[in-house]
Amino acid sequence: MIQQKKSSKANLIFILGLLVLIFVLEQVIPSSSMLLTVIKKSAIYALAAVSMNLLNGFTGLFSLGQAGFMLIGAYVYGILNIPVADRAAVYQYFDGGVIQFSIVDGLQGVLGSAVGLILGVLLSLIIAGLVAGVFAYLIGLPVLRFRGDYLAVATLGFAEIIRAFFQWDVLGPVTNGSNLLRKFANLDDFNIVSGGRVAVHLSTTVLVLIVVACILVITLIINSTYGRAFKAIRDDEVAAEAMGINLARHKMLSFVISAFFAGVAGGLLAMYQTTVQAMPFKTAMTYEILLIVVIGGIGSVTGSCISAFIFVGASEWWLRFLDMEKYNIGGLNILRPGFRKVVFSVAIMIIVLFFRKGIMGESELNIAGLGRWLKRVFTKKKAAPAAAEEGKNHG
Amino acid sequence: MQWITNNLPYLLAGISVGGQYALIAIGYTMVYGILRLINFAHGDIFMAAGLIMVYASASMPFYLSIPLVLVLTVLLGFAVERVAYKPLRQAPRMSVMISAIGVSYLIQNVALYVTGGLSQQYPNIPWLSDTVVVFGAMTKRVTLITPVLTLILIVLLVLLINRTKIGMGMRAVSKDFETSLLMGIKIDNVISVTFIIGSFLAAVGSLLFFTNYTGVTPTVGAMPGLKAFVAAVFGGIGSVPGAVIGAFIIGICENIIKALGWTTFSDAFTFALLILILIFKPTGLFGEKTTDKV
Amino acid sequence: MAEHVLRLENVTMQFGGVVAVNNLSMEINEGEIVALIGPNGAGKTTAFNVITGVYAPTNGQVAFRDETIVRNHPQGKMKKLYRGENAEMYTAEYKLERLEGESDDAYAARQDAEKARDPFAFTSRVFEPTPDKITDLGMARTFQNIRLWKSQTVFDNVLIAKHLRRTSNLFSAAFRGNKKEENRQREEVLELLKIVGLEDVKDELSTSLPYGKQRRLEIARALATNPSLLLLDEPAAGMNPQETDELTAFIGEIRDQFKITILLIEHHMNLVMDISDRIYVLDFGKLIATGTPQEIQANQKVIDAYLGVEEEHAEN
Repeated sequence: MIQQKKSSKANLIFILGLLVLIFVLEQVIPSSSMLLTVIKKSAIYALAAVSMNLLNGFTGLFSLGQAGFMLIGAYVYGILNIPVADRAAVYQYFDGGVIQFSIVDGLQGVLGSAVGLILGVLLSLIIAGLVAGVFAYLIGLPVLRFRGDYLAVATLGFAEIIRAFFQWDVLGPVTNGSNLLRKFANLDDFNIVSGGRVAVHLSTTVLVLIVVACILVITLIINSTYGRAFKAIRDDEVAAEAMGINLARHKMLSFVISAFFAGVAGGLLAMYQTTVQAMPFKTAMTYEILLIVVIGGIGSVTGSCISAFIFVGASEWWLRFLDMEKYNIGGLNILRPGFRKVVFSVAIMIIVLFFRKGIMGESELNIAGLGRWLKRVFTKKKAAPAAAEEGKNHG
Repeated sequence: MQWITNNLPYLLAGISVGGQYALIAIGYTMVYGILRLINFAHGDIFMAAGLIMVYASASMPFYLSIPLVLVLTVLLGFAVERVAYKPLRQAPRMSVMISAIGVSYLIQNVALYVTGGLSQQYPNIPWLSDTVVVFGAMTKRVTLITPVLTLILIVLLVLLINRTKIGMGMRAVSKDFETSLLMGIKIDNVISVTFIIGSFLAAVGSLLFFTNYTGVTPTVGAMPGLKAFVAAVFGGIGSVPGAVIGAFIIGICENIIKALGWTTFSDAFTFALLILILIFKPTGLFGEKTTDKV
Repeated sequence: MAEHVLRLENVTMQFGGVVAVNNLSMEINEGEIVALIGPNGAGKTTAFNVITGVYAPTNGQVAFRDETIVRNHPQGKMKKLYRGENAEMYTAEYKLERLEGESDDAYAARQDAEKARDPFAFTSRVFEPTPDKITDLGMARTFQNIRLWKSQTVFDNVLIAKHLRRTSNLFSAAFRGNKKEENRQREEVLELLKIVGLEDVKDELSTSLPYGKQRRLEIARALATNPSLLLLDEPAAGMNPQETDELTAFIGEIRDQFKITILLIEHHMNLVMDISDRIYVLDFGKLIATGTPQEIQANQKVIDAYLGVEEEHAEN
């Protein structure tokens, strides 16, 4: 118990350190740097992956609807935050749309630009999550009764239906049909500007801060009595029900929580991209998030986070050279656009086939534990004879 | 008469697409029947068959390229099973499904690499893509050939399943995997044959499908694949005739929806149908009921 | 009228054309240990599954502490297929049979008495609660083929069963507003593990335990839901004689310590005869005998059911 407290303290310090590091990085390296892009995108994917992990890894519900819930979050965030003055331009095919307010703008008018921005963005993200959650509830009513793989296809199907609805031009006055939503408050608005230049960069730090807060909440849920009930459902549904866990309610709870955070991730993605369109929220996006979960370890929160960083980093940055023809050696013409993704998917298949547990399996990265482990590794040489002795005794 | 001339093309297209879905759906339903696996990569194998045809027909005549497409697609399906599914025979079902998604991702990315992301022009297969007139409605000959060819292939398949030794093996494995293993059925062979048949039919389906749709892109297989899967569920997964009937119904309904001007929802309709079936008749039209033992 | 902890009335369970449990009625009184025995395939586990809500019966009702909790009559396709008895007994069409020379008043009085006994008599009411609702009422079970939560420790297996009796909601649980409750539950779990003798292995994975201890853990997990009726499905299956003796003593201890009633299915006759107050014997879904262990041991029908009758051998 005492050790548990100590280690959670160490973990908190580690997370704080990480945030400080990102803040410092953001000030010293150019804002167009690939590292910052990767940090931002992987933070969003980490949240999406953790929310999917809650469902697939901790509750054992194989759902493939994540992209649909992210789409809802992104749209809700976008729709609620386009400044009234810009609506005519954005909704040019729909007479400026029907919604004529903007949360961030409205709050900024009342509370001043800084407080208004922070509260407005947080409020919009929460609404984005809630709307995704409400959709999840409605979808969950019929779908959560299905068994394993049928659930997967049904949720996938719903994600596609959602996408079709948001692109439907009858809903255009709200969703802008298949056209872009843009001009809403984005991450760069958090940078503190003085004299036409950015004095303090905050866009990455703010994003990571929000993601960290969300993942902490998910972790708290997983470690609570509800999280234990989810795991019981995953391990053995029949036994869980026989021990008084209401399957319908708990599955729904997990489904809605997962959709809520997927919605928040969608809202953050909208902020990061500065525009929203339904097209990219395809099944392929869900697959990518699923693969992040698998690589990190199904049932490990920290695994999902680490894997999101590796996945985004590899696909957007470190493997870039594979797409460039100038790196071809000896007249071979293998390297050209698209090769990166081939190598990448082969690597994923190798993980799926041969390292099924992923990076972390079902365990979590623990800073205190890591420290102890490192200590052991470094003191190994000195302790080797003693360890051998111990081994003999055990044998 | 005018009404018929106006609407017949949609109905014909529906029957034709239905036949193509049927050919893909059989692959899903047979694999699911035996491995209890939704083979997410099946739609991509169908797409790959289309791409192979694009490249093969560029360098050889049709009487060579068509058989080559069939052979290469079958090899691809066989290889996918051996590499990505066979090692996971003892693993939880979720792992196999993830592997299938991984394969789908891989095939799509390879296609992206090979094509450079550009839509590839599907060759005009002579005779198949000739225009014919039916009751005053213009259509390609493939539209008329598809249902006929589909039915012939299905009759052959049903004969194979019911009359041959390997067919008996398939039926046994789909009834009870473990017991079949104990009874000395060579499960790996049965599974391989299943994938070979599924891929062969998907290849035939792609020849017919792309003749009507001209362009092949890396993601073009995903949607027909999912629709074919829905057709398989609709008919009762594991049942070949069920999958075929389901596929025709979906193909026709989809084109009726297009005729009504609701094209945005033609994909969504399929999934709505899926969800309705799963709610009201989870075993599909011809599926068998199974109960979990406590 | 004495209160029964559990009462089955004319329970029939039919799967397709197969009648697995046929018109089974039984009663269990406070503090009893009752055994349900019978040859393999007699329908014992099916009866268990009906009581615990895994299956809705095809016909009949189950009352817990004189309150009807499960009730059904043949419906839909089953209406035609039904091959059991009392097809109309639990529908609005049901009428009491008129006794010979009975006056209208006497008949009406009998009808009222029946209504007083069973408030849902002469109605088509159906109750099909899910297993968790039944556990909530105070019945908990173990499984014939052990169903522990495999990735959880021994401690967590029992702790999860405490989830049912929580008072916290999602928010108070996530943000640790339920610390008191959580700590109390953990203490109770530790206490329970001490009683069943699993305290020393509390941090091990449930599946790493030897078979006998896994069975004990299942019992501990069931007890964690605070039941007043414990249902044990073949608790001694796969145990050697020594383990079985230990278990026999253990079941008696539990009954006394937790002041609960126990219904068990078992094949080990020593165990059954040692601890049961009363025994019900099923064969081919039908109740063939009931009584004390002595009575059952002497019952010719039971002996025939277990050993087979001479005639049958001749036929075969």
